[in-house]
Amino acid sequence: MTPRARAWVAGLSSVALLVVVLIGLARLPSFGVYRGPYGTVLDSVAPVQRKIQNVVTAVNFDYRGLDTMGEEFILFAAVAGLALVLRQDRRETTDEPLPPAPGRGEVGRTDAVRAFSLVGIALTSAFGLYVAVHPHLTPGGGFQGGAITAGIAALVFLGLGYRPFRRFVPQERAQPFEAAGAAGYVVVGVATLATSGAFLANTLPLGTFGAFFSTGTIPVINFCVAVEVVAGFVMLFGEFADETRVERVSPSREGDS
Amino acid sequence: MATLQGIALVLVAGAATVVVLVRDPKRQIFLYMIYGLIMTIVLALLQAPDVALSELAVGSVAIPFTVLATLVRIERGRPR
Repeated sequence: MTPRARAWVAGLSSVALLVVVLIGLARLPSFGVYRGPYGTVLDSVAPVQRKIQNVVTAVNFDYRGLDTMGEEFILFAAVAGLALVLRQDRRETTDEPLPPAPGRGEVGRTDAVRAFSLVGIALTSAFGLYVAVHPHLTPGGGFQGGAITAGIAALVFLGLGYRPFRRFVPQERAQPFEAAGAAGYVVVGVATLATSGAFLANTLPLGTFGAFFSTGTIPVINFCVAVEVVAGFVMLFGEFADETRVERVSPSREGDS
Repeated sequence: MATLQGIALVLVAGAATVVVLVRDPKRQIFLYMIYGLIMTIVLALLQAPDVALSELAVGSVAIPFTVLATLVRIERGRPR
């Protein structure tokens, strides 16, 4: 295809796309108007049915618990696949910390950077753990809180360096937690299936509205998700941090140096 | 509230455009972190705090960390 013909194709399809987008925009409901009936229904039903304050969590971990289980396994599969590919590429045979790459010393950090990250670590852990364990009372939950908490690992790496990072958050130790968190969700599902006949049915006592120990199985499932997400992100950061450290040994690279 | 939402939406559109227009990956990822923070504010203003927290963690920590680590890796992987 000549450049001229290509420009024509690009131009014509852009015009067609613009027309379709404009038609779509014209038919959108106006800003702030919510037309879905289910949200309105759940807003009035969930606090009574499940004694829960955060209806988003009720949808995620109860009414649509099976969907969230699928999402949890997306993260699980992504992290497991990442570890599989990167470790294979590094030809890793042990779980020992990797030696420094030849010709690359530890990058120093100034005191200011170190102090700033220590303060950041303290604040992040408090905030992340708070968000992670209050899914039924305040916005957030296991996923958000878990991801924020795992941000500590990133802060340790950025503020203190690779060695403290490897000592403080070894991803090999995160592995069993990653698996246990993912499995815990399924175990809750199977246990409720055995006791009530429905997968992920909320069979535990619901407690009082607004109490920390309330809403039945929701905090239990949330805890599994929190463990899985923290461990998953720690493994993710760990695998990427190892990549910045080690010299590539695959045959395709050996001829380069 | 509508005014604040309008300002935030314009800001996020501007930040997104800047992220696309800057072609140096290293600068791009720091601008992306700022974009992630503005996006977090937009979601909070639209009363979606659960989504805002996800965006905060993924957009301003997880994605920049992995991209930065990858950039370091690519630079060191170059033939000398």
